[in-house]
Amino acid sequence: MHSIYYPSTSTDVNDAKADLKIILATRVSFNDPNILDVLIKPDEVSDDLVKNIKDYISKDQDILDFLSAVRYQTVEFIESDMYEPLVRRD
Amino acid sequence: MLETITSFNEGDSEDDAKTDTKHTHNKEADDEDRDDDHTPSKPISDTNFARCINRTWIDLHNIIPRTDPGLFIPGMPTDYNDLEEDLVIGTKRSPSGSDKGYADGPGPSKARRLSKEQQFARDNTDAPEKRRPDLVLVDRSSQEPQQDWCLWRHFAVLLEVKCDNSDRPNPADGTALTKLAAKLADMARLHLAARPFMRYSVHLTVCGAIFNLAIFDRAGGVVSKDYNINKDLEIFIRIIRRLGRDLDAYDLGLDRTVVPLHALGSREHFPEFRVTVGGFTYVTQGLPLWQSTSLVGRGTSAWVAVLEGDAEESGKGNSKTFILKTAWRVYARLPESTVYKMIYSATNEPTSNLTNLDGVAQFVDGGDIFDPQLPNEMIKVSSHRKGFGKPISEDDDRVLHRLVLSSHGGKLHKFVTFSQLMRAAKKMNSGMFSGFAQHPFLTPL
Repeated sequence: MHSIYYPSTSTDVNDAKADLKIILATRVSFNDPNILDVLIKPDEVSDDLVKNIKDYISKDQDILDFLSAVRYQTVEFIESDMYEPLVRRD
Repeated sequence: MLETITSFNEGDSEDDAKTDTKHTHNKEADDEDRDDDHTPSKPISDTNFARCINRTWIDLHNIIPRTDPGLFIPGMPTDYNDLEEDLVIGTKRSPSGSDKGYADGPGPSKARRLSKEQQFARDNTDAPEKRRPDLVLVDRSSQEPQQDWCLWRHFAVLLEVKCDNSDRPNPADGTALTKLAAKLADMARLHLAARPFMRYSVHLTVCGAIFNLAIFDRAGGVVSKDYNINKDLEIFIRIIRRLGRDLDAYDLGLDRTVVPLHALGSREHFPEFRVTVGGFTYVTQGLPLWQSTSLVGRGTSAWVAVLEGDAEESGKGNSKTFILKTAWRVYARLPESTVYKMIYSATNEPTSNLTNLDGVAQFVDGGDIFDPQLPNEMIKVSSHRKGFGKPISEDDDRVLHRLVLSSHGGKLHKFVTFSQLMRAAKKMNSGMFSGFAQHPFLTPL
């Protein structure tokens, strides 16, 4: 038989958190290039609709400010002056 | 921005009409449901509510989402009054216009807007009831008034926002577990516990200009490569549009072998689910009796269920109840259903010494679950990971397994006398003794 690590199914929060740290280290795939296409299939949305939405939101100054802020990494400005609770620091 | 993309209807281009078909149709299905019967809680057997797409984005910074009353999941509040007084603004809000199901209301947990110092302190506490995503895409019921609060089981997609690119879930070295990935996984385990019959939990992250899609399931997680919201704005729009308008509950992780018989977005009623085991179809009743809160592992949940149609024949409340148990089992181990069959077949063997199975649950049916679209393929964790993610080890690639048991006792917390507890303990003890200790081929698992 294989030697398998069986995580706890305890209802104790601390047990569950400890399990996560031990287990996740080797069980998360990063930088996956395909998950988006396989799971979400973004190409199913037509180019026309995307263009229409893009045109529409380009008229929204708040959205433009947000995009500009993330482009220049000045989100703090947005956070403090526009929409305080949007960004949370850990 | 998210809501604008999701609800955009202007122009009604040809494609817009096409992508809206499912959405509109589903609304019609709900409307038909309402027309047929003015009791919105009554399940419509031919309506598959997993296919109904009616979603909205909710900002959770001022709301602490809860679980249904009676559903205990460590890390989630079931009652506002459990929360710290300084975080709660007072009154519960009952679901408008209804007193059914939630007389006390599972309503919103409204937290006061916090100063930055308070926010920092709050976010750096380890208090589990404060663990929640920043924004969520939630299922709504078209039969109920729209609310600005939600329960964890309403989450279709969880979104986490950070201000800096460096907070993104992909590690710089490509392998180390990032803080955000661990946080997503922690929320995913709660999501999988609160939203029944889920195969995986879908997450979006926006960290500065970088956005990622991630899923977490019983074998771990997969995080997409990094996208830049400025360079890849069209991709972002497509993702939000697909999540909010096109992808149904199955596409977003619900087990394709179950059918919800109520709207997944209902605030008033915990949905019933139609589940097929062997040749029979069962309908779950109310909240699960128990559900695992671990992410990786069996993900067990246990339900009270009745045979479909039995309630009509026997009269409501008179139908025989069963225990339905769902779990992801390790393929290399003996299935639980096989163990039960071995125990019960052993009673027919004169040499087994197994004559009395008092305390062993009465096995009715069970086995591994097969994909309805690929009848020769068992449903494994890897079934939904075809085409992405690194290969899953054999030990992690678990198989979906279900059991139906006819033994159904009372809940431990409803015992009122010590003798009840002692009788239950005696049963448990005799079951262990009967099932394992006397049989040479059966050892405790």
